[in-house]
Amino acid sequence: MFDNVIIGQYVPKESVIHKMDPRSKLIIVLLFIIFLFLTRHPFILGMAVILTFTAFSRSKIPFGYFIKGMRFIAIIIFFTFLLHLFMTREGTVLVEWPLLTVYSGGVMEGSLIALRLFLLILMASLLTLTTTPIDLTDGMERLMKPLKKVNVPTHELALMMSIALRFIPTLLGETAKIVKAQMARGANFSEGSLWKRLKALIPVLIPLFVQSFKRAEDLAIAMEARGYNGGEGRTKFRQLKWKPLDTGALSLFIAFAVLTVIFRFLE
Amino acid sequence: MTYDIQVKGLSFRYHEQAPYVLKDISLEVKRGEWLAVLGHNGSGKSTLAKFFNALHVPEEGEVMACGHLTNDPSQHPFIRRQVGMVFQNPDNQLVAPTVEDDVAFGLENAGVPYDEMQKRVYESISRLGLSGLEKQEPHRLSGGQKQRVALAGALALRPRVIVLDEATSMLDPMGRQEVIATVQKLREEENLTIVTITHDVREAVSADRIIVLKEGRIEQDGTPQDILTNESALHQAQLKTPFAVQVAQELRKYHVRLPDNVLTEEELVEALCRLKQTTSHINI
Repeated sequence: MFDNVIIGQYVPKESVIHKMDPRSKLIIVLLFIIFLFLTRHPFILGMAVILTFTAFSRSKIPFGYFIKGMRFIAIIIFFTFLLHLFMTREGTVLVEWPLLTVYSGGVMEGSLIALRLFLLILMASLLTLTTTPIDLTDGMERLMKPLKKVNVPTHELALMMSIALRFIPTLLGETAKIVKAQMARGANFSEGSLWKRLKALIPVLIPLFVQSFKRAEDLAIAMEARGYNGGEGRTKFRQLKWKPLDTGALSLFIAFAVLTVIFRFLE
Repeated sequence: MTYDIQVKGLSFRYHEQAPYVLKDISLEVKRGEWLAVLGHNGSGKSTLAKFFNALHVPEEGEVMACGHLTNDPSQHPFIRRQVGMVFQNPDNQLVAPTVEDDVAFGLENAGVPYDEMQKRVYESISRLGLSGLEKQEPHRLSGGQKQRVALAGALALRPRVIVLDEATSMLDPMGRQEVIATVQKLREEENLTIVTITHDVREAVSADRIIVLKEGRIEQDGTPQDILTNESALHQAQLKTPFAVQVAQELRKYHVRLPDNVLTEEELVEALCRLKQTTSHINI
């Protein structure tokens, strides 16, 4: 079911992009997305396309893999394109049907949105394809550190996220086990109306929840036994290293952002 | 003689109306000793274990861990570094998404500097034969490996005592053997004090001393020799005599002269072989 969704999956490869600091990748993606939507100048858009594809090719992730995972997203992009195509009433009339009129502005607007969405998805998935969830969590924790001053529990949030990531496979395994156990007792998950099938899930979810609470309690005791006492005075095993590569890549995207602003004023 | 753990007159109940889970427990664990606490389900043995590193704090009686009273919360970080614990369920005690991160968890909590931490994490991992699995995710490990990761996490803090709270009860026989062998090896190399909490008499066989708990009271205290061969006492505490001891006792009924110190299958086999050498003309 999830084979066709690649967002959130990590593909281990030895590439420049993989080696980058998660912090710089996070900032770059954020910058890129914001400024991509600020512009409609062909020069800047061309630059965005070049930047995205350069980044993608450097990541050594096979493009076929990406395209395969994009099927679902492609449908969304296509519908957004259609929506803009038919809803925009600017420019010259290209096609005139009894119920539909397509304007040149619609084609422009639709293509622009489709292109932006495509680049956005490409960049965002590149982030998760080249960064392990742990590094991503770590990067976010570091970047959010200033928020600690306004009492945002950044360390706790990051720890929660990393524990959640750690337990996803465990809980999936457990779900499979419970499903089998209930099937052995005669439960049927694949027949009947939608309502019936949903109801059949209740005997799976309840043991799963009960078990999860038990796990949470055990884990809390184990953490306490290992001296966990909140984020205060804690050192980090994972060190993030900001390399010249990161400075270089970030400068490139800052340049992109500055150019975007300049071109916006020129328009 | 230095004691790593001293318990004096400890009684405990979870809340005021509840019955006592532990009743007037007093015991000492010597430096370098291996103590096995044996008990049936509900005998209070796991509750007792939680007092050893200040997860529970006594209200009646006192507990000293590595020379510090556990009542004093300011000593808890120190006590928890000195007394490492490994729990029952291998899936519910690994915190981090990879082996190396998990081994580092306790060190991070203790605020160990980065360079020292790197050194200790990889040292611990290789000590426990987990090299090559550093980046592995916990759910891809076997039960025995997960428990060894938990041990590595405890060991990285350079503790004096390691408490194994039913640490092998959810493992298959292979995993159980793997963990017990590891503990034995560590104990010899590091001069660690070991406390194993278990209902499995096989795990108590190699201990120096056994305490049998029943309904929150210490029923027996002695060497494995004394306790594991005492069928009626074990039976009273709802425990099973080890298989080798049972076989030896049955054989003795047929006047096979076996020494008293037969506790494990290896010892039984050896005793029988020796017997065969000395009395090859035996007829039963």
